[in-house]
Amino acid sequence: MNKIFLLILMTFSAYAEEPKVIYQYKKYEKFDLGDLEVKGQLIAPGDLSVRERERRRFELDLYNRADFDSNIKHDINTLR
Amino acid sequence: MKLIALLFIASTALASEVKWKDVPEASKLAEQGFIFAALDAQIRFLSTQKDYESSDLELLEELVLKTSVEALEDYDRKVLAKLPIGSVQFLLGRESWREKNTAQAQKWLVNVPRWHRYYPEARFLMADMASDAGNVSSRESYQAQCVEAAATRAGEVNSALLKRYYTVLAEDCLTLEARKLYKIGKFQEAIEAYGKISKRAYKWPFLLLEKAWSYYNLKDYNRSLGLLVTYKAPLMESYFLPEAEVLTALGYFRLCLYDDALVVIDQFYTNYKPRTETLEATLNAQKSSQTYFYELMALSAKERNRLHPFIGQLATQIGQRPRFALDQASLAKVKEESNRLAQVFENLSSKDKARRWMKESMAQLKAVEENLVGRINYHAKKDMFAFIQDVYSLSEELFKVKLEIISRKKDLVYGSKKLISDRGRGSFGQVKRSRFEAFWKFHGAFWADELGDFSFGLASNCSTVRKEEVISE
Repeated sequence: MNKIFLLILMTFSAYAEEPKVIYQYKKYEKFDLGDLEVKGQLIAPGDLSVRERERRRFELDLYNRADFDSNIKHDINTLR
Repeated sequence: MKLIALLFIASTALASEVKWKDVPEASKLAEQGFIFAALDAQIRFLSTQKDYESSDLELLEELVLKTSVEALEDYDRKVLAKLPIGSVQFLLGRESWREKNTAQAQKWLVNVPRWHRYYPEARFLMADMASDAGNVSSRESYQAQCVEAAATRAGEVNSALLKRYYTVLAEDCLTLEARKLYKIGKFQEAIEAYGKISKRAYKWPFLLLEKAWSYYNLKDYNRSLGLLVTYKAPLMESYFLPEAEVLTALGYFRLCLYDDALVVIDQFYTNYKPRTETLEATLNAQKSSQTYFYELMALSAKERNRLHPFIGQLATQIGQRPRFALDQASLAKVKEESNRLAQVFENLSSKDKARRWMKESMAQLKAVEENLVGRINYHAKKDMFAFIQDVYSLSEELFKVKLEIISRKKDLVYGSKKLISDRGRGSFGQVKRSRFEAFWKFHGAFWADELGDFSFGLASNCSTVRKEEVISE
């Protein structure tokens, strides 16, 4: 019972305290960037450069004779 | 020719007068010139014996040497294995080698005695097996024995067929060394080993391609291309090797002469491929025939060329092999003997007890004849279909070269570059030669042995230059 009473009381008090706030934004603001001073260390490189490098090429596995083993067998078989 | 006919009539008359016993006698048959029938009779006789008389084995050896070892191919291996003669041991060793049973092959072949006709070939097989097993010293030793024995016998024998057989065998054994050096990457040594084979050798035109591969791997593309151009000589008309075209295209490609490589590739596709397709269609229709390829080999060069130009050239190559000549000679012998035996058989009275075994001998001769025809047919067919297969697989390889050229040309365009092509087509300065090679410029000179020593003088075109900017005004 006490708890219900306390809840009703809190609800009414909340309604009674709500202030009327009006927000206003700046319509115009000017920044003078030249006048700004930033303190700190410059760590970026002075100028940007890209080193040209050879593009990686993928060559097809072209035919090459590893051995003549099949020719040896052929020679033996064609002897007689 | 008249003399042969007279001898034939005389021996037939003599044979018909002989009183044949109820059982075949090998020595009597051999005396009458029935060597295939005598061989059969001797094997049948020996297969019933437990111990062998040395004279019986000597007769068997003599008969095998007269007929050829192939006449034994139809007999039961278990029967043959009991006969301790060099020819049988060679045959069984060769069978085991074909079955890749090295231990067994070695066991048989090592017993072939030094004096034996098949000794050099047995050593060749042993050299091949030693090489496959990675045993270099044994390979070298067997190979040297093969070369020495085969070359000596080539100078001793009177028969043209045997002379050729031994000559080719000696060349094969010499080639083995070059091929093994190539396999382990010793290309310069391989070239020197190929150089030991005479230009007059039967194998020499085929070895040009192998030598060209050695130069290619040494990056001497000019010499490689020079060797390959030898195949264009009219003298080499019957030697057409599709692999030579592939190596030519690769040589040009490595020199960055892309347009030249493309010309070779296009020629391959317009020349070899369609012709191979028609060849395949012609041969496929007969592939199950047991005699078509044998009959093809019996046709004249003109008739074969009329069927298909490739058939003519392939048949010429096959016909130059010793095996073909030996098989043809054996076939002629067995046919002639078969006819003579049939004549003797017809002259026997119907009650003669020799009729029974003679009938069996005639059947055996027929089987040997069919075996020889089948061998010729099989090997000709195998070689022709292997050629077709080669053309197809090599055309795939050429296609890869073409793709690579297209890719490189594309890179040049994207990189605004071009190949440095402001130069002449070649110069003597580009020709590499060893200190042992004389250099003839052939200005007004002609040397008959120039084939196989050509070299191109092309400079590599692989440097690139930036394309000049074109400014449109």
